Amino acid sequence: MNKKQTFNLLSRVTLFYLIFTFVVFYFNAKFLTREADEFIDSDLNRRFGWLESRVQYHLDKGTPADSLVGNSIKKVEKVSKRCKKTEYPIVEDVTIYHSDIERNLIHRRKIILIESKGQLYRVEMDKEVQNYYYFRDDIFDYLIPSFVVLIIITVAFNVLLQGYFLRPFRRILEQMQLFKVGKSEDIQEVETMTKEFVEMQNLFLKMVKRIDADYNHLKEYTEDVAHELQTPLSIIRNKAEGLLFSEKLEEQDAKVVKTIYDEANHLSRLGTTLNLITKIDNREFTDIKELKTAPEIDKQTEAVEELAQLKSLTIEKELHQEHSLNIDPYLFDIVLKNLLKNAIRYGTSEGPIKIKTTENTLEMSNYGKPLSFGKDQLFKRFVKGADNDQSLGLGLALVAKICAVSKLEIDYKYERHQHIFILKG
Amino acid sequence: MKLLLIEDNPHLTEDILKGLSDQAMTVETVGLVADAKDKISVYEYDIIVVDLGLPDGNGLEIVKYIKEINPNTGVLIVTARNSIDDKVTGLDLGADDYITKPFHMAELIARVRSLFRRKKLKGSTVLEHGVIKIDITSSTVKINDLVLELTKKEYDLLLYFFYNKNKMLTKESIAEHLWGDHIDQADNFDFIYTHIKNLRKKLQKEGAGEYIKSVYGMGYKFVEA
Repeated sequence: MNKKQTFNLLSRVTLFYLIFTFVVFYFNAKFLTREADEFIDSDLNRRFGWLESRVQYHLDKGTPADSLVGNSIKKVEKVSKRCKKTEYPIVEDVTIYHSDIERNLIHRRKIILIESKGQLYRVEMDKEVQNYYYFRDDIFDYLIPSFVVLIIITVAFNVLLQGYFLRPFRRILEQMQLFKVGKSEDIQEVETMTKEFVEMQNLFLKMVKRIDADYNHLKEYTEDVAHELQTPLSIIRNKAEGLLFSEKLEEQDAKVVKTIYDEANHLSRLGTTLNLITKIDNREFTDIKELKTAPEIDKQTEAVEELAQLKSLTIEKELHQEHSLNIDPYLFDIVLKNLLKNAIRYGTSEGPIKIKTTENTLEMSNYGKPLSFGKDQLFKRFVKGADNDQSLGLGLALVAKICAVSKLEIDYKYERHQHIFILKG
Repeated sequence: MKLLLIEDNPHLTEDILKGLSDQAMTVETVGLVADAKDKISVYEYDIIVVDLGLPDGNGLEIVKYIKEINPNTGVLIVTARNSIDDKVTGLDLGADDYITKPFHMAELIARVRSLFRRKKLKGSTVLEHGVIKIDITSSTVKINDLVLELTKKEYDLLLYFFYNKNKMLTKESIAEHLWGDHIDQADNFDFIYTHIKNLRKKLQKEGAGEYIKSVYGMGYKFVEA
């Protein structure tokens, strides 16, 4: 069977939670970084604006350009009026080596043109921004470790919760699995304070009660039917048997009585078999175990060997000793009996009845004429060979039913004059 | 031999009584669980035949009750239910054998008699009919002290006849006795004839007379030669 991979609920919730948190963290960090960038830009613009106005003021006052150069103003030089004004202002970040601290630091450089008294000046301003960037990058540096811590805490919680909160859930599942029809009293109620689990458990208990009630009604009904039918049938049959051997009975009447006797037999078998099918449907056979088939087949074939011989049929076996099926032994007994009965009834002496088991299949075949009806009819109730009015027409229906409830596969084919039944576990 | 039949259906009771009438048995009948318990507590029975479906309760109660009072009593359960649960519970409670309705009267008699042998006549296990002797413990048949070689089926058949002397046995009843479930849908019971023929031949060869009579092709009867 193709089994779909599954994950437990909490792990999935955790995974989704973490993915979601990751997205939130990521966009949060992005947003904060952008905010920081904006802040840095506006702060620097404010500072550069102030420097610019100071330079303008001093130049207008007639202060020599060179004396304006200081900490933040790196260069003030005259330029020709013909220079390309559109290139300015130039804003760029540059890395500058500071020999005193032996480190590279990032500086923001802004170059502008200032016009004073008809002369154009090119003013180069510079501001160290390394600390701003450190501050900005700290956002990521803090958010990533806190996300990792969150992952660890969440996973640890998940593991703990799996054990603690989900324990009642597992116990309830266990009870569901162990539940066998007709044995609801064996179910132990699981103590839990989780509302969903309480609801689930209540629902399960209610269902179990209903299933059990249905099961018991049907069981009672079939048993009652069996009892109420079989007792009168017993009487009819015994009385008919008594009449059959009565000295006073005319031969013609004896034939009538014989018919009554035969039909009572037929009815009785019919009742028993239909009842059996109902019981199988009702899953009253729950003694399911791994059953080695070889000894069962030996036992059954030994019992019918003589019946086969009387029809000049032989039974050939080729048994794999390890072949086994998961089935109630009583039901397997019925399957074998019916398949054998079928093979003996319809088999012709053209060749032997063959029973072969391999590691995972059981095959039974007999020679005979092809079916007089469709293959799809074979396992249906009351379908039987045209030349056989003694048959109940229920044997293979019974086999099919048992296979269905025992999750076995039964198949039929007709090949080289042989009817072949294949049973797979 | 004293037998208590616990069965609520009067017709079936009548048939069983008739069936057992020539078996040198004292048969008493009751139809209710309560009456059965009364009888059991007062009298001692060799064999109790109990139907499980009774109007005032389950026959299994009686089985339990008998085994408490007199564990030596042979108990044969009659069940219409064909329910394995009942069979298993019955046998667990101490029942010795069970028979499922509808049963052939001859089958019931054979079971009762075989139960009686197992329970009471521990020393003498030899059945005699004319010159034929069957030792049940060793499953051997002798005619005039000569051992007769029989197949398992032939032996079972002969024993069935022994338990139902002078009674008509239908082919169906014989087939069911010999093959049980395997025969329940048998097409044709003529194959019984082969076994009867072989058994007859073996009996006659050793000097036993014509014991098995066929009755209008419907059945057979085991008679005095």
